[in-house]
Amino acid sequence: MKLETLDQRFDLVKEMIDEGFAFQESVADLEDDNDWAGAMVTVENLAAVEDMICTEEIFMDTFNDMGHVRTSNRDEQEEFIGIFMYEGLNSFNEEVLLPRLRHTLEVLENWGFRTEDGVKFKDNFCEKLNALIKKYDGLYDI
Amino acid sequence: MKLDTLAQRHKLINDLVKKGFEFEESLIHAENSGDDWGGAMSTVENLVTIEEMIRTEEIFLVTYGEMDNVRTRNFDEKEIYLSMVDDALIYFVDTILLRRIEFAFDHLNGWNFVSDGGKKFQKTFCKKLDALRKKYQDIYDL
Repeated sequence: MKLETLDQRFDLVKEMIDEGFAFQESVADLEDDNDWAGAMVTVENLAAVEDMICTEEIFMDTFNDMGHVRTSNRDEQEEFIGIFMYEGLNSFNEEVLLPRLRHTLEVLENWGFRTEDGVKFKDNFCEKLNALIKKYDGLYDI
Repeated sequence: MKLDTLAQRHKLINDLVKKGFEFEESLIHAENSGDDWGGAMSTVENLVTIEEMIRTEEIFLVTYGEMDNVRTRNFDEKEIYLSMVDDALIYFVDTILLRRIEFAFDHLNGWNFVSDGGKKFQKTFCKKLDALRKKYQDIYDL
């Protein structure tokens, strides 16, 4: 699982949403709607994570643009960029993105899937969510 | 509905999440409520996401404020950095926050609630989401 770049992380989440939808569809006609509900909640959480990665990209693009401003006031530029990184991007990561990832994982971990495919879905997604959390943990705490 | 300040908007969403959750819970064992639970659940999920996005809006504003507090004689350059943050915030509201509010509204509005409680929930929450959307369009001139 390559998670080094923002695009890779975004692609992974998109893939998970597609897979989650497909699994949701596959259990939609069962009499017991437990697994369908578990898939639905997970897909909705991942859709929120996707929005958050788009937001991360807005922060990153702005950060890069600030770095490109031509100036002879290097110290001041660093100060502005530093504030933006710490108050902005790092805060967003710690207070919004990571908590949502952890919440997604927690809900999924606690859901008792009853079909064989459901259990596979859960294991697969928990592994990926754990990898994403590990990547994002402290990522912008520079 | 006062929505002019961020704190007021945050409070509205908080209230909606709480009430939505209570309504969702009430449907778990309710009879003759069809798929109302699904509509309530996904609405609450959307509202939680909106709440996190309002938190993100706050992060942008706080960051802007901190940068504005930097003492400098290079006003022009400071303006450049500040306007980049401002642009990023507007872009975030336009492409992520507003879209989520619209998505939440459309999803709720289109759900076929069968219980009286469900229909009331739908009417009340759609009205509030619509007011929130209009306020954001107004504030950010979108």
